[in-house]
Amino acid sequence: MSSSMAKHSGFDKDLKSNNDLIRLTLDYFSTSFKAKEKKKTLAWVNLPAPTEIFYALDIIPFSPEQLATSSSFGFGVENFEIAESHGISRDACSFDSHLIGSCLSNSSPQADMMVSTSGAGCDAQGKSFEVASNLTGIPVHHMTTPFKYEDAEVIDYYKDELSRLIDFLEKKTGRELDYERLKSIVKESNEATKYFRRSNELRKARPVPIGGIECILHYPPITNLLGDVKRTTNFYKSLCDEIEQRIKEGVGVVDEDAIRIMWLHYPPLHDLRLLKHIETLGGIVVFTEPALLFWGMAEGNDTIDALSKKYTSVFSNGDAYKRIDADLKIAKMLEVDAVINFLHFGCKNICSIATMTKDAFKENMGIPVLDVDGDVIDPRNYASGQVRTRVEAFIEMLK
Amino acid sequence: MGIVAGIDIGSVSAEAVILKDGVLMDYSIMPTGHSSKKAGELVFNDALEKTKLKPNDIDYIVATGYGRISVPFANEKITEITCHAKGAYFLHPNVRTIIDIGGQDSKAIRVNSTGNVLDFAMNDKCAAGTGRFIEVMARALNVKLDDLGKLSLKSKNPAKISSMCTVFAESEVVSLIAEGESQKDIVSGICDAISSRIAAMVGRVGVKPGLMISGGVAKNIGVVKALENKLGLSATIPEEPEIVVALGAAVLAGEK
Repeated sequence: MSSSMAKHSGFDKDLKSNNDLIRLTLDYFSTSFKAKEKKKTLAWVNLPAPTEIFYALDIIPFSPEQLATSSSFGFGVENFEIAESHGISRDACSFDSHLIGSCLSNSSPQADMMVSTSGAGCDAQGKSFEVASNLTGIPVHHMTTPFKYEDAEVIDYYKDELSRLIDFLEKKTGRELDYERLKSIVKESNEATKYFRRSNELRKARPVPIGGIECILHYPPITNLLGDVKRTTNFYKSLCDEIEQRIKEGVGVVDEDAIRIMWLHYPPLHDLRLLKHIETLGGIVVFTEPALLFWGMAEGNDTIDALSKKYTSVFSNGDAYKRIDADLKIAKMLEVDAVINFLHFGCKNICSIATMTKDAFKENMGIPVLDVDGDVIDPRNYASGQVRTRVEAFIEMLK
Repeated sequence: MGIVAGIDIGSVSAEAVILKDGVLMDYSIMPTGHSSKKAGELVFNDALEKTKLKPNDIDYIVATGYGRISVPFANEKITEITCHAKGAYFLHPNVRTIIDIGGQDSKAIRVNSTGNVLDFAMNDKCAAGTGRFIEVMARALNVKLDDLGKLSLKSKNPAKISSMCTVFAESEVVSLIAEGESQKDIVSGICDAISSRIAAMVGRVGVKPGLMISGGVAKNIGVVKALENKLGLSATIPEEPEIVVALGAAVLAGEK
């Protein structure tokens, strides 16, 4: 996958950390696909799962959503059509279609269990995991995150959910959770988050030290710590060191006065060169919104309480205002000039609040939002020329 | 300013406009055909011939439209959205909302008091609400494209066309013909269906008085009237709605 990823993505070859990322990703996929053979326990999880608990129980948390993104690099594209032939509508979210297609084509790493969570607000994920469970016979456990947030009752509820999860995982593995080990993994996960956040915050520099493509390509490790918490932390730490060095030397990938763009939702992963193209037009993507899913840390002596606070405070869990406020806060911090809102086909969350989002940026920051319709991972649902025309016109407008 | 040219390579037609010191000298319109590159050369040469100019007489050329990348002799490439705003503003400085219905896309553009783009929206996913949609329907009804608009105005009871997929809508039209629905009512229903979709798109950028409708479909009086009714505004239709984008490209070339 590495050469294909590099070919399609337009990786910054001078950024040494990108090589670490490719190795980390390849090792993660390799370990996951060989889990059965190596007698390791593997669970499919969706974002944002409390992966710290899985690591503490020696379970590899594998994300089918990450596997689905590989279709953007030419792997498993057929899974969309396989799912459609099974009766899944082409209008469904392509992440869900891919999950079901990969079960039917048996192209996912074999799992011992599945755990779905509701914190990202992806309404269909729980159902898709049920379908996947029906198709494969793999047991599924559902966790729910209350819609309300920052409320003692909600935190208590989620603590119960964590207890139920631990109970489920202990029964399935026959192992007992070592809370001291969990505490140490949470500490390491916090370290990874600290550096992940820092690597994003450093994009405030002028000129912007790293490219728009890196915004999204540096995101996956934090989502499930890529099978190795320590290596993930080290990756982000060395990434921060490298970016800081570039800032110190005044090195940037664009001019100082480049138009700074915040990208809401994921960019089209099968057309990451679009982000490079933006740089040739005098703009640069300085932030991609999914990073906010893993912005929180689990702090405090009571580990379960800390995890509960971390996962209930996720920006996408709750009302639209919570999400928009989080976006605005980052946009102000990174001094963005404009926003592109990628309205992923099949995503009710993003599409339903498009106008609210547009109005909020206009009222609070006086900056414009371009709505672009498209599909994040399904290259069949995408017209590159049309999207480029919209983006180019938007940048012309900003100039 | 000098002598400048704007070349617009659209999906259906290509246009070239030549301006001298900000005044229109002449223009040319041709079908794009199978080659955007060839269309760019032909339409530019035709406009040169009409003005008795040679390529070297042109100080600056801006190419636009979806085929803008296929005009190697252009000095600059600018999107049709920016060019559209400039062209419309050049013709009518009071324009604030532009609706363009072209061959395979449609757009709504909001402009400010200096002719710069404030916001825009374009059709997504499919060709519904574009000139191609009307072409397909005209063929299904065996009505000349140019007669479609006038015919729709004769209807007092427009048929309901509910599908926005071009292929499904064609099936609906065929069914309506089979049910004995009159040609004028079906045509009127088609104009209504397109204008509903366009009006919804305009809503995304916010409609302001000072409305201009351009693009090939602006010549269809049925769609224009239906849109005016839906938006509650009367629209300005340029004398030659197909050249607004190329004109805007030439205006931008003149600013260089």
